[in-house]
Amino acid sequence: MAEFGKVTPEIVEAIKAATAPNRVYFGADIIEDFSHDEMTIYGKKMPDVVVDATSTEEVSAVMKIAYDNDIPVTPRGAGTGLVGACVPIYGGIVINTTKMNKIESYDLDNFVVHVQCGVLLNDLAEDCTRQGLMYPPDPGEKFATLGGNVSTNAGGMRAVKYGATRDYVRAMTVVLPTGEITKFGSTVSKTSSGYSLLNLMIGSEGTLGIITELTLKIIPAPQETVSLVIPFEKLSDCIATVPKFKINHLNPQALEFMERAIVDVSERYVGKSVYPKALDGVEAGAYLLVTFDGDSKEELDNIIETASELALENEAIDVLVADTPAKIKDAWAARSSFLEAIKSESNWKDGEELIDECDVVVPLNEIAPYVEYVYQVGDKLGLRVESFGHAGDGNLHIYTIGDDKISLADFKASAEQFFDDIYAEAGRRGGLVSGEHAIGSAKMKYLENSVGATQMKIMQEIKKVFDPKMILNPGKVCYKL
Amino acid sequence: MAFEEFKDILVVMEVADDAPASVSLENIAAAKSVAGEGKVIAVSVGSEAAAKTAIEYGADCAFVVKGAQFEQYNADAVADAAAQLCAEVKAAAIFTAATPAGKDLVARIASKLKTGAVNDATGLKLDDNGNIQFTVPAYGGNILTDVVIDSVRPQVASIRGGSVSKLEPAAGKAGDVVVKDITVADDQVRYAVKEAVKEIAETVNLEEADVIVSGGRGMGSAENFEKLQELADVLGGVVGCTRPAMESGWISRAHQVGQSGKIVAPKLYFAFGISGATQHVSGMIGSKYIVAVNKDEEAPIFDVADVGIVGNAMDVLPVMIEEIKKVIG
Amino acid sequence: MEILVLIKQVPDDSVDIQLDPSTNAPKLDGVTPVTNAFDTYALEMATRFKEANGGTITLATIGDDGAVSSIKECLAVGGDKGFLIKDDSFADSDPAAKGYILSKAAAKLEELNGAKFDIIFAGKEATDFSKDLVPAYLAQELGVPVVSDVIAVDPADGGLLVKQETDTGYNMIDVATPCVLAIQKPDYDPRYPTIKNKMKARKAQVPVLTAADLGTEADKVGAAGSLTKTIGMHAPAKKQAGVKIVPPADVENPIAAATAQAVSIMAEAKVL
Repeated sequence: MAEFGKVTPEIVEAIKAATAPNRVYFGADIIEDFSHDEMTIYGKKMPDVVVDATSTEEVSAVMKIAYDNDIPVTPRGAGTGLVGACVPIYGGIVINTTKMNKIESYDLDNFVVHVQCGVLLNDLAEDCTRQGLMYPPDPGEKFATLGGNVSTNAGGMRAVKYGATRDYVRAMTVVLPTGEITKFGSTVSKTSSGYSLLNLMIGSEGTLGIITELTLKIIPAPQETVSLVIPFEKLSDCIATVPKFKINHLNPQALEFMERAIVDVSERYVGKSVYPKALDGVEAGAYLLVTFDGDSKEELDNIIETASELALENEAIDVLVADTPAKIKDAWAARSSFLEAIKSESNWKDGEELIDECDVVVPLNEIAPYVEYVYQVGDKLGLRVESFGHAGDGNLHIYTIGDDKISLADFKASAEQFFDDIYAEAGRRGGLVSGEHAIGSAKMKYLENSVGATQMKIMQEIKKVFDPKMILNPGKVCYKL
Repeated sequence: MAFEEFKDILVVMEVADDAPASVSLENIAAAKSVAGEGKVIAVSVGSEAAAKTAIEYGADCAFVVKGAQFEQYNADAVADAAAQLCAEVKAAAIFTAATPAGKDLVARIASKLKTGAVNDATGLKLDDNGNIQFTVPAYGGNILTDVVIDSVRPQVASIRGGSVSKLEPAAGKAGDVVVKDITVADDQVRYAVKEAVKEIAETVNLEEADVIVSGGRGMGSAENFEKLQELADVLGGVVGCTRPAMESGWISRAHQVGQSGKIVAPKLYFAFGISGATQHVSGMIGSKYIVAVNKDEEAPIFDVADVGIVGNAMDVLPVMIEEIKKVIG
Repeated sequence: MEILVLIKQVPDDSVDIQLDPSTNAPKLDGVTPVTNAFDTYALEMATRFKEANGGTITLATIGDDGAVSSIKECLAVGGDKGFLIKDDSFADSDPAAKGYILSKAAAKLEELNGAKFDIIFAGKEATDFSKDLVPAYLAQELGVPVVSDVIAVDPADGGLLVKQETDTGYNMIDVATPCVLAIQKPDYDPRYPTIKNKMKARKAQVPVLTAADLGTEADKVGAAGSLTKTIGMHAPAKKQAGVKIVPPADVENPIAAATAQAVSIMAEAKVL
């Protein structure tokens, strides 16, 4: 196991000289945020130094100082990760990229945009909308950086139609652990030019290199969108409808399912009715939330008629149409608030939030029985479980929260048992550990269980090639020190 | 069109506890600025003390409306009284505050007198023809419109608080206070208030608050957070917080502003002891006016603040409460 | 109960509308026209009233052909029939003129329906030019009561019991019908249309009422009938860079000095 170098005052001075004195934070000046991401249950650790970088050259200079002195470096975006990937477990330097937030330029001949890694997803999305363009990946967390999105291959609700972040990364500028600056990929879309190092970087969670600039594919924004809220009595009917859309040539932009329980939680959180809970005298047990996009209102009118017929044939209680900006916003605001709603009902013990989660992927036809299984396991362990997910690609978000009677230690133990069980079950049903939240430090043992020792070894060897001194974001994804 | 005989301006005041509301005193100043040689006449329903205060704040004289129909506030009755007074003095204009009640009065007075009305003016001046030109926000304030009422009198308008500054009060300034016993015809009062209920808001409504007073880690403790409530109360606002403050157990999650809290855009946002990390700033960057206090001169919060003070939050807060109390009166 | 719900089509209020400096008019290209949010609240309240107490809802709007889409949206969430009030002479009408036009429209619709309206619902303000005026002008023309800031309504002896929102709580108000109610946002959201209602609304007929149909007088509508005139538009002043005050070292009480300065800046900026 590597012995890391210490951050000395001289090193701090060198970092200041390479960047700027007022952008380097040491000791008590470092705010507590930098010790964790969005899921504190996966552990906190304060770094020794935080640097607000403003350019690729600065990142490179700091990385070189670290390399020369064997100091661990953790890159960090907005800190909204859910698996502890930006927690500096071994201390050292955190390079904060949020100041690198310029949208550099649009190239509309090639339909790409050049951005710095610290641009927030929300800002790019709004900037694109203003110009009639769309950056399709739409992960739930709008205030994450694009660098973070690419590092986790973030998915989101539009993935069912448009694919995940990976499909939209054309090129990136990367600072390697040695400090060397290199560029992977290019503006062109087709390539068969050597091993795809670009694709290796995507989803590598800041362990192979630090992404500083990105060239992302964009598309013309669809002219019109419409959403449907479809209540069902039973989850099984709800899920069974999903494959019918594709077969009938309906290509939803987004396709989410949720159970009645999470809708109730959300209602309590926002303080008012979110979706109707009963229609025509029938209680809703599950809902589909679907968005279609198209070029004209007429096109969409036909699509929603067809989609509605399908849903009603499959035991939908009714189909509610959201086709004004206000109602589309309401329909999706409800969905976007689920994580916050769940968190609002969690408890805190000893400065930590009793909440744990996973985002397994299972084949479509396994979703309904798998979700039932998950609740059974939760019941057995006395844990409260909430779930919802991307019905179109089988990516489920399963949360467990601790009540006010359970201790932190007991919760962690029960949660571990719970997730061990359900990850294994997902594997048995042909699924995978993570659809989009990635591995970080939190999910490493599940990764090993899922892909096996050979693949883990290959990943570790690749890591060594990129990072011979093993200083970049140590302890994450595929190896423990 | 010339309206030589229409000179005076009436200001219908909102009165509570025998005192005019601050915005009504501002209305007097507004009226003064466009009255020319006309008199500014404050109208108080029921309260002589308020009428006297109005004169101190610039009104030339005042009417106190009295009558059984005004014991309990009824917009129809007050509007009718105002309309009668407009006719009596041949008012060039009549102003109210742009509060829900004030805007409602404007609508009733103007429709009753078949004259023009402007609601929620944020500015006014006299044009070359002796008409008042009002500035009225449109499209949520993104566009300002210039509006005149040039073919009829009186010009009926409600003016938003904070648009015009009150005049300096002159204690003992001379001005007649005249009691007006007014009778409103029965058929002009078309609804009855059966019950008036005062409620205290329980929930923290951050998204709709006009003023949010937020605290971060720099506040230091839960007791210090209570001091923020004092400032919020002075300004009729709501207390907000950052995530670190919440995580330290100083205040509940319901007050959290930021990425994992609420996104807000109030008219006025105070950030006490808040560093200005993206997670928080992205939640409040839509605020119209931001005031920041932080002991770190380089804190990023100062990049987004309209005015900032470099200092310890708990040192500045009590002083600021007193200073602000002085200003808003 | 016969109910009339008045709506206005406005640009999508979730979009920041800016002034086009070359035309000095708002830039509305590509902004979706929507039913004014407060009118959707009014319709939802009216629909709940209808569901609880029986009745029919007639919708009407002053607009051009584009406004028909908003009528149809409203037909899918509670409206039973809808009418477009359209005439070239109605253009540029201010709230006073609109009140007059709507009063004539109400009379005409009562004639067509064969029944008088008991309640006229209207959103209290519009999100483009928010004036809080049309309901009062309309009520005055009709000679009926108007209650503002309404957040709930129920039938009562002799009329209605209406809940009015105030700054500090609410008033319970007795009012006789017929009357005009200006609606403030209640604590529930407008409903989603069901697919069946949407498809029915799509096929609905929306008759047009012209100046001739209403019998409006030319000098009471349009610019001629307007008592307020909008003579110009401009953009608000741009935000200046912020001021960072460092407490001066050379005074007895640096914090007090810095704070006083800050508060006076705030007062000048009229934010207090």
